[in-house]
Amino acid sequence: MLDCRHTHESLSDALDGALPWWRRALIRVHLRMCPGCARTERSLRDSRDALRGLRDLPPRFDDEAGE
Amino acid sequence: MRNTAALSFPVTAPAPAGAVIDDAAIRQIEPVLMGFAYRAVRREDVARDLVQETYIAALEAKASFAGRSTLRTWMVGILSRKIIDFYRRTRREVLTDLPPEPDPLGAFTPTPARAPDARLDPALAMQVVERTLGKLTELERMAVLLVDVEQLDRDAAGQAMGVQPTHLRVLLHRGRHKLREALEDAGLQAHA
Repeated sequence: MLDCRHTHESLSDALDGALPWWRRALIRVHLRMCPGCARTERSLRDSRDALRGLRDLPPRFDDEAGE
Repeated sequence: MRNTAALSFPVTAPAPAGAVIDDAAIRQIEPVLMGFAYRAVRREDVARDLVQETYIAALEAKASFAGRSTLRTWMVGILSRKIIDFYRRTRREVLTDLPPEPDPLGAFTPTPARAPDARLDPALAMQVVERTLGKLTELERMAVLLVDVEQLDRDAAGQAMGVQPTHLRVLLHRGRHKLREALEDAGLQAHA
């Protein structure tokens, strides 16, 4: 069984389907049992969905000062 | 402005069968390229210059555009190399710099308990991630733009950036979690 640290380290890879099946299964088990990591995983997906939404959206030109 | 360095980019990525690669087709992609470039460099004048250089490079190299990817993907690849060159010129970040082992993914802190309904509506979430992209390091931002916004696979993104897969993995991990944390914070504030 994966702990929180190892789950956390794998979530980004999981988003890209870059993990073997057995690792994905271990993560799924952990996420069912750990509300904190499940929230992290959901937020990561929300963030990825928001990024995908930018794909065809014109940028907001606000040249950030002090960049 | 003519940029001969463009020819050193391995423009082997292919075009869709039957695609017509001419000035008009390339210019149709301008909004896409401007969006990508501006989000990467955060300066409109620089973004316009980089897109212009990308047009020139694409027109020079169009004969090698061969048919296995879209024109958009091909041109985003060219633009990515231009952006990486810009980062190098301005020396904002040591491009090969990786955090020391053994913890390249960064410290792990347990996710704090958060309100279960502290999620933002999608439009607001897009504003938050777009703003937060500016707080990522340049390479983290490029990795996220290529993989999550442009939806390139990791191999193609790593090639476009000229980084190894292990490096790209770390950049994605760090960039995504910074964005995720910003989204969570904004969600909590919105529901406070």
